[in-house]
Amino acid sequence: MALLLASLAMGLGAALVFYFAMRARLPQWPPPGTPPLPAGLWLSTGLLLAASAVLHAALRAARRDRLVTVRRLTRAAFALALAFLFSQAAVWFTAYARQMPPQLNMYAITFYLLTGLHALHIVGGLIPLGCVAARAARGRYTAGNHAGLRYCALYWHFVDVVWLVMFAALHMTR
Amino acid sequence: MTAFSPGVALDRPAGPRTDYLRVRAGLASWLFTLDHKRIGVMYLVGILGAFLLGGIFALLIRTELLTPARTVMSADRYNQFFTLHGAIMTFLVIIPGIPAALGNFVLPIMLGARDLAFPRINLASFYLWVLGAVLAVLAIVLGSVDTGWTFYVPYATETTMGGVIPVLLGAFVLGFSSIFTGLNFIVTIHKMRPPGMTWFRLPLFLWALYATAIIQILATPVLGITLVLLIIERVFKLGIFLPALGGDPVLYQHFFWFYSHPAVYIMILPAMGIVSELISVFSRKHIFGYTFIAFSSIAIAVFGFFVWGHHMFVSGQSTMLTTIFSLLTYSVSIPSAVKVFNWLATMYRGSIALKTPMLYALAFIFLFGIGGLTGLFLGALATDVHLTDTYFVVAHFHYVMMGSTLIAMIGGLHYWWPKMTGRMYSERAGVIAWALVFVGFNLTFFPQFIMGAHGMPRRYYNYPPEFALLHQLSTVGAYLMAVGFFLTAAYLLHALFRGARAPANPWGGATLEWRCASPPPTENFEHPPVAGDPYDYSDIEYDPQTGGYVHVPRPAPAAPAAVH
Repeated sequence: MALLLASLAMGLGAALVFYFAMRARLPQWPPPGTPPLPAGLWLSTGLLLAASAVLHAALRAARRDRLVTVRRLTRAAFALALAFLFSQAAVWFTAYARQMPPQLNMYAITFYLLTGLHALHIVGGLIPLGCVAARAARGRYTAGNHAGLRYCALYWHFVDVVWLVMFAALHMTR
Repeated sequence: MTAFSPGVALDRPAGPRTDYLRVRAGLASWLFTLDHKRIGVMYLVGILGAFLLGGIFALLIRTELLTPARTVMSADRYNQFFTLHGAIMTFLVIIPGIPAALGNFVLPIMLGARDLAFPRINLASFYLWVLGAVLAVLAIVLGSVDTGWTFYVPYATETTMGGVIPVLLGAFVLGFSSIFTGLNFIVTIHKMRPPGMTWFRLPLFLWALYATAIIQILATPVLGITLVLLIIERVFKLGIFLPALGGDPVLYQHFFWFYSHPAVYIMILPAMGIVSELISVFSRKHIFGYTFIAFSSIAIAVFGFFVWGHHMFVSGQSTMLTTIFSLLTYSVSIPSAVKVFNWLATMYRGSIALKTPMLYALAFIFLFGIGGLTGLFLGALATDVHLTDTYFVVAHFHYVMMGSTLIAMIGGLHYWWPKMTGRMYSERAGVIAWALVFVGFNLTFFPQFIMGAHGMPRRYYNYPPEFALLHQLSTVGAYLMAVGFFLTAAYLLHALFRGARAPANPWGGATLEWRCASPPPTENFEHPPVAGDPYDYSDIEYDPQTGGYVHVPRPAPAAPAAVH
């Protein structure tokens, strides 16, 4: 699992390197004429952090054998993660409507690229999270056996951290 | 050479156990198999098919270069052929060649395990490889590519060839296949070693695969992002890499070589692992400097990440960066030389058996020596500026990629052929084919060093008549090599149907794969074997009855063999 995350981190890290390389080339960042980022991004951030926290709580509940809590919390995490995706989609539409199509400038390109890549990893994480929620509904995760839940939570913490780094990077202006 | 009685399998008493090849029949039993051995064999068939295709392109290129002007094809066609040759040989043959085909087959058996840690992921990586191969072939149909295998911008975004995006997608998909294989290998080596096998009793081939896997999972994602950006740039023309739109073409080169230089070590490290096995077994002597060879693999994997800039000495990157990359490049030569010296020391006073696999291992050392030493001229800034984009570079990387990696792969194929198929090939045919390949290879590529030093640029369709003789020698060499490879294919296929039955241990190897039958049963071992020193040959003896070697455990390690 750690290996998978290391591999993913290299890929997403390369995208960030690309972002900073682009940023370093231009005297003003974001370039003049770029509209401000939609406020919906803060909502997204909150949703993702909440999903991560809820999964952590689910893991703690599993360690104490509280099966009903595990079931509720994994469902909540799934809903929050799904809500994050919708929120991000809304952000994309808002940004587009505010005259920020990807062709506008390099900042717009990197914005769509980073958020898009991240969203792909969210979609990739929703599938196992769905499986975990379904298994939790059947009470499969006990104090002695919850490796699947743990790996899933680990992955979501990972995409959470990646998002925070990206979010911070997008706000670094000059 | 050694006379076996064909068809008599004395080492395998007729029993109910069947081997992995015969356990189930039918196409579906292969396509949906989770057995690492069958997946390895499918990879092998696919990779050798791709090798044939890439080889045919190579022969066409060499045929065109027989005369200084047009010989058989147009200049555009020529550009497409060298691009496809490069892309197919790199992404479809050499990168997956040893890990995915031979590694898949051998790794679990060497560990005394039943299979890899994730058999389903293994099958998925095979199908990703197939998808990548299909996309590459599709590119030929959809209007081909002529960018060179490196897809440099701005040309790659501006050429009107229809095959560029399929090839890029193909390389992208192949990258995922490579990542999954690497992940699988690392987990298997960590978790599934048998009792008695500590990290420093791991066969060196597995150390090499381990180091390779680290590069695979850390470098390949970067290639993925790069290719995605290139596809986006080609489709939407956003100005990421295109200088006309404010993009940076050198940034593309940085990204590309950040993967593709470590990829060179994805290619060479497993080959070095095979050679470490072959040299020790056929010298019947304990490998010299085990820990040094093991750690030099890891060192090469680590250093490999910090030298990509040496592909870009003339790209306009800063002089400071260029100097640092040049210095770091030399650091790679240290672990490489450590390996070569240890192999030579292993052979020293060993009782060397010049069987076909050993001949390939010796060819590897010789050709890798030339390839490695000519690399020093390219790593040095002053000489590199003169040699950049000449045939000197072409000859250098063919000595390393083909003369080393591919030669070791063919050597490994001969070494494990009896294990994979249960049949022995003709040793005499093997030696003849080896000689043809070895002489042909040097005849093809050695003149290219001379041409390059005299200033013949690579990838040119026409050339001044003074280079004609060297080019013709090179072309003759290529044909000689082709004859050697076709001969190899012929006797290996002949062996598959008519060859003598192979004993469990035809070479006297001490690693675990020689302890199970040839070919192995599906579960490899009934009970996990206890592993000892993989290079201790003192308790392995020749058994004239089976024509193979058998394990004769000695009760007391201190007792010298006084009675004869």
